[in-house]
Amino acid sequence: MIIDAHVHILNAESAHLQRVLAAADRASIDKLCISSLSRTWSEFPTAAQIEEAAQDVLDASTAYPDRFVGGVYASADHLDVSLDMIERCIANGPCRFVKLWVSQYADDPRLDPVYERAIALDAPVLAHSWIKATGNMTRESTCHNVVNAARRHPALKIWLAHFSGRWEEAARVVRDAPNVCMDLSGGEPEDGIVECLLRHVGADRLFFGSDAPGRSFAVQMTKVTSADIGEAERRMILGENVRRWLHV
Amino acid sequence: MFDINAKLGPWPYRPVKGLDELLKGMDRYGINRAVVSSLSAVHFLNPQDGNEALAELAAPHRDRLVPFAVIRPNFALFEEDLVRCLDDYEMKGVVLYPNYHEFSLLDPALGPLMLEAQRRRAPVCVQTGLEDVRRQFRPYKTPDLEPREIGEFARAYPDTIVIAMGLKFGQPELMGEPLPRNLCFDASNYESMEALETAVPRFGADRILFGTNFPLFNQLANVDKLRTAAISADDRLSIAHENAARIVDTRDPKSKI
Repeated sequence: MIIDAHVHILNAESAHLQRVLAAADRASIDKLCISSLSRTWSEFPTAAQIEEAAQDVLDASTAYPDRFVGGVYASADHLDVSLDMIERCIANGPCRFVKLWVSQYADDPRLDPVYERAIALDAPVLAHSWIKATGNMTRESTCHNVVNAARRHPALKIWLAHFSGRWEEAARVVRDAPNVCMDLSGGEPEDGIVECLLRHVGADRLFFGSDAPGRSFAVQMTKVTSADIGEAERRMILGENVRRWLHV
Repeated sequence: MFDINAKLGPWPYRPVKGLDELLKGMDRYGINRAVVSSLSAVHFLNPQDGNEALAELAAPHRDRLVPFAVIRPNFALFEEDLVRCLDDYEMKGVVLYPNYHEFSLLDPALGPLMLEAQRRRAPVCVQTGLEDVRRQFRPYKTPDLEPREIGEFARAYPDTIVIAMGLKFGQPELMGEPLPRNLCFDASNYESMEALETAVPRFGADRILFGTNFPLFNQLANVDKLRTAAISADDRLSIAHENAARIVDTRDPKSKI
């Protein structure tokens, strides 16, 4: 089974969801872990946008329960709403994970209630991260922020998005934080990414992800399918690992 | 398939694959021929050193590899380098790096180069960039070339085929629509969930070229991009092979690109 661990939906309209699924079908992807960063991708979303994002993902996951695995967008700036959405969509709904983006650093202590609830629900947290040579956004996490959070909450399952855009270093940073996995989404399909990551972390800690629709399912998957690795490792990265974490 | 955009040589910032891996990948993925240019020439002060090494490397494989010359038109005696590459080494086209080599495509000094290219029907490739600027972990940055400049360049030299290489999704239209007849682009870095599905109806399949950007990208990325695109079989064939073959083999700028 192939599971894309990192997909965004732009809204919950049927036409959009069907286009996403049609493109995923062409790349032979069985399930997609979806999140919404609100319809406007605001750097600092309002409480209403957090709620809207959760509702879009809930609607999509309800419409296509066999294809979409939903993630709840949370923000430390709107803790009460974030926790409410986690209750509604994960504790009492079909969603399976929490999504963090750039409105706070991943090790912001204000997120502790989110992490504690995620641990109680056995819901992994997908945390955006990048180390940009051009400079990060105001509160955009690096792999160091994510590992700090992971060390403070050793029972938390946290997955580092985009290998921080700097796979040569991110694998070293997360190596000794066993509760951190990494997705391979985003960026250009540079050669040798997976082989480099595997020098420091096991294949059981890597998830295939695309970052569609901004990126291509098929192109991003080739980071795994073109890698010089064994078939068992390839299957783990393409879906088995994230399936185990999410219980899907 | 015909890869319009492969390169050979070391890369300063990470290990990359070489000639043997290029040929093995071509065999594995069904790529019959590839245009190759020197990656060293991007970083050498004198790119001709890279061109000469490339000519030697490609010589035993000319049935599959089509060498193009990297020319730096703000470097002394570049005209002689061009003639040597096209005549002595039988290279079939030119690659320009305005951002790495710090010149403007609109500089009149490019006139002699373009005249020579036109006389010899050599296509001229313009590489918009080679690296995601967010991953340029060094004190200076090399931003991508503005697509608008490539459009103006192609319009200034209508009798020479210009190939924009490395354009991102949303950039071909920035070259100015309608695109001039002599301008086409490779799809190596053109990516989104529905990239080719967007580009084909808007720009025409006859001006889109399959390119891998080997060795910086994995070769399979663009093979699978094309394989999985929801486009017609005829359009897929044009992009995969026919357009590049027409440009490289007939090199007729007046033909439909």
